[in-house]
Amino acid sequence: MKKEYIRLIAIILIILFILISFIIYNQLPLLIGKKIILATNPVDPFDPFRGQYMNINYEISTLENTQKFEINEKVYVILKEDEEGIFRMQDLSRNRPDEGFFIRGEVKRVYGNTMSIEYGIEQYFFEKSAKLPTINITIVAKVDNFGHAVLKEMLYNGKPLEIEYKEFKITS
Amino acid sequence: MVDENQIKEWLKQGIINKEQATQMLKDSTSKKNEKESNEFFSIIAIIGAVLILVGIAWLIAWNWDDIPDFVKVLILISSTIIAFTIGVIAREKNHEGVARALILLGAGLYLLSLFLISQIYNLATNLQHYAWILFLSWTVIYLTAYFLDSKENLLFSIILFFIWVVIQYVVGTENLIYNEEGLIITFILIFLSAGSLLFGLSSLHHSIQHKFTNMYRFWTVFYFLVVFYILSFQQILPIISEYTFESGAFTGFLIFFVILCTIGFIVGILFATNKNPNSLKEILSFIGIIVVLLIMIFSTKFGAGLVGTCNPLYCYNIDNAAKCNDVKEDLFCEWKNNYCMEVSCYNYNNEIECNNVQGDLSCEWRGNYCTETNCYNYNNETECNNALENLSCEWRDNYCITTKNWIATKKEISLQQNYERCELYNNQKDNCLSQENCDWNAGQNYYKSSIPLIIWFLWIVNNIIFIGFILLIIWYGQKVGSENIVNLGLGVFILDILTRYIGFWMDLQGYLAFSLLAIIGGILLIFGAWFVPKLRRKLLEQTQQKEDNLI
Repeated sequence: MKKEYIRLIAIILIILFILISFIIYNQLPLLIGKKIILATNPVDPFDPFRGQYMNINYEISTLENTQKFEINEKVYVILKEDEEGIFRMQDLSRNRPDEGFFIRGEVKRVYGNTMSIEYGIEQYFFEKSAKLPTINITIVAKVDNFGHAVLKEMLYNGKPLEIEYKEFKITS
Repeated sequence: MVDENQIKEWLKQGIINKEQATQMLKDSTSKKNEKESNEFFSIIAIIGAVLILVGIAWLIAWNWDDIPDFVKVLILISSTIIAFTIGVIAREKNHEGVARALILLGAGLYLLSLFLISQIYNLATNLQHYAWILFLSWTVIYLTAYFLDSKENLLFSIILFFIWVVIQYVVGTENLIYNEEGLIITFILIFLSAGSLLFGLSSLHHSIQHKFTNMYRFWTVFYFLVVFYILSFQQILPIISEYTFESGAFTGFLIFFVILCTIGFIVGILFATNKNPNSLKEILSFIGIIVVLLIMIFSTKFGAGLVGTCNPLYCYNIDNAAKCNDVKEDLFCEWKNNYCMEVSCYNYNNEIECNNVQGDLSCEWRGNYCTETNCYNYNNETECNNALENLSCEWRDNYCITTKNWIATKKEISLQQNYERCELYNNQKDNCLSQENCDWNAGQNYYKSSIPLIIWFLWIVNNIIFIGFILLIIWYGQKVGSENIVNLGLGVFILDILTRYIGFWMDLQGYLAFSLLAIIGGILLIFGAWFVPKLRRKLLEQTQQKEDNLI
């Protein structure tokens, strides 16, 4: 086989390896993770490369910093399901809990006794110009054994969200 | 390829006869025309590839919900592979222009695939996530440049690398308190390091006579021109002068990047000198340029603390509760939610707190906000007439206005006094900082006449060195036979003239200065329009001859 084709195959394999690994890393929590539902407070911006999305601020995005966590520190938020089926913060830990429901986040800001945490599930992308409600929203996420969460779906009043799409036109 | 002069010389020396010379000239001209024509069609094909990428990026941003996610990913990944494959086949069939465009298209589709996957999984929109995507992009696209022999992909990956470095660095400084001094010097350091790494790579490539050599040379020159350009601004010198290596702007990533670039530079030059001892001269000249740049940076210290504004300290400049409480009376600050804030009705976000505000402030809860009591808050006649007596409100022309003469409050008087007191210490850093409640801002000076001699001197020296460097670059571009480097040198020369011209325009005011600058500017433009293209043509002809001789 010609040298050029061997190089082409090598580059295709590298690209496939990276893209598939990227997909598997994000798909894994959806396949094997535990389901949790989180309370939200969304807003609605736009990303130039990925389109329109909803920025989601969770109830567990701002917590009391009782254990003096520092900026960029990893934090495991231990969750407990309430009677409405929403998972709320029960405790915080620097180390990965052995069992139970927990989610891994990173401390982004500290203000006195409170801290702001990001879990990597703060955005929900949707079709351009589709109409989404911004109140009474809860999020279904899946979390793997390492606390890595991936957003699964959005609930409106506790039921799967039905998105209202704008009629498609070639000039729209 | 031989040039016309060479053929004439051979003919004169009798090495070739007239017939051979005519044939050689004909061949040479036809090859040159063919090369130019191929280049033109390659550019057209590359524009086509860029258009396709823009279209696909737009479709991804549309995020069509009717198409299942896995189909979207499958389409994009297979398009990436198909673009690369057809690109390689097209090259085999001698369609070089199409091959180059398709290989570039493949690289762009790979980048878009990463964005699509991160859209599907709703991954973060923060800078760190962009940095990760860019890292996964530039590294793989860099590999494709070598594996698939693509100059365009090398250019693409160098651009992505540059954006990645800047974003990754900014991520580490996001939580810093505003630190302009540190940030300018660290950006200079990033450009210097990246330039050094690229020089190491260009030396390495030159030693093995690789076709990417001139691409690395171009970007090395580019980064160094950026550094010289930054140092040619008078306003920036006092800001740089206040750098400290203890600044939080020197992040872990920055240190890692500088070390990595230094290693790359050393490995590159060691390899080059080992393979070709003649390259030592060029390497030593390059090190000389770095030394000159470092001297230019360190010499700014001579002007440290001499240019800047002495501003009154504001509550938001204070980052600790103790200090905030100390200045409570003088600056009207209060420590709230871990911030030092100016006392204001807006600091209260519930009705009870708002209504219980004590002291000089008069607040009221309106429309879910705590606002200062003011006649303008009332938008109907009844409310206006029932407003507090001391506000003296009156309903006039459908507006509620105050009839009271404006009297400065205690807070306004105090802030004005502070401003006047601190202003006396402009351009005197030590004296400014020794004053109570005054804050130093380096470089922020609007009184040009008070710029010290040393800053003028450094600025003039820096600009002379900058012009010298541009001339050196034009000469270097000719020496190595790179039209792009010559064009870059000329482009930066024009940019420098324009920048300085605008600078003078801003500095010198008044009718006479304005008319003189306009006339000089006009003459410069007319002269430039005649001289620059002429010079450019001459330089490019010489460079082209050099390039042809190299081929």
